[in-house]
Amino acid sequence: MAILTPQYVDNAIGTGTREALVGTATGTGSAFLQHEAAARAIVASRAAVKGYTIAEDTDNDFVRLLVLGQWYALAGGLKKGLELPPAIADAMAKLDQVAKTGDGALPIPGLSPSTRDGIGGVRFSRTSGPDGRRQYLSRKALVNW
Amino acid sequence: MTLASFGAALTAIREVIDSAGGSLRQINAGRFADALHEGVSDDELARRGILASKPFRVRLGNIRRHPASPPINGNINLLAFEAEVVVSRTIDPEHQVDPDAMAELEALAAEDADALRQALCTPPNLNTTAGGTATNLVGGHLVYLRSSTPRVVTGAPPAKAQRFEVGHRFEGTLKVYQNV
Repeated sequence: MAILTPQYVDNAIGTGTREALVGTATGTGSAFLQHEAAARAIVASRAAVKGYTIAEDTDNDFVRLLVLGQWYALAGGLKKGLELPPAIADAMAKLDQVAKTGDGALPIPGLSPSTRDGIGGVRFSRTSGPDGRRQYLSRKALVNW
Repeated sequence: MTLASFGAALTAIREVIDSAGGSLRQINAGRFADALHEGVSDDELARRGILASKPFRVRLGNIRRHPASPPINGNINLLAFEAEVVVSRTIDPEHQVDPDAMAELEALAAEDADALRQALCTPPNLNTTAGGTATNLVGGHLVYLRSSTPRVVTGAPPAKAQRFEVGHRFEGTLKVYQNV
């Protein structure tokens, strides 16, 4: 399960750069996959703030770009101590914009956030319980008030 | 006025280093890349320095009349010059904390000297450019002088890559076919 493929990364930053950052291996146990999994987890976590659920193998282009930014930060910044290229820094900034609280957050095209699942969201149910809170106010309850 | 063909000589030197130019003791293509330019930030050069092809640049200088040059009135004169090949490598956080990794990096930098020496000092590697233009380099080669000790050229902010450079100096002689 992966969002980034070696082909996608090569198209974005070049085969030589990818191999310089994480080596040539891309299979199980490789640094490429390790950073890919971590980058995917970071994006899923940040996007969850806004109620998005990021699939582990989505081919959503915007999500892929967000994951690429995190991948480079881990492979190039963490391991090699490199400053991020401006375009990668821009991809990382987009994740901040997606997770921005308040107005002006970037939507992820093709995905519909479930705001009730996001931070500050509320899920009502018929009864109180671990998954919800009983709704006390409703249009019906407010009639004649 | 016919002038010295430093352009062809410089092209041939760069081709021998960058793209396996020449015919004997060639440097493997991909060991070096002509990518160490002025006007590029240290951050960008650090990114280039981690690639398999290490960035280098060639500068010609210290040009003077060769002691064995024929009289100035003749149609051939000889100019002596020096060529400095600077190779940059990136010191990443692993090199900064692991002495063995750093020693390996420095050994590769020293090995560069021999790779350059063998390729640039073997005739007739510098007789012509890859396109066939004559360089007018006497003997079709350079003479190796020395390589500098590695010098770190960037600061050391925490967990950030640095660069170090080694300058490899060569001497050459150029024939100048001047008007009489």
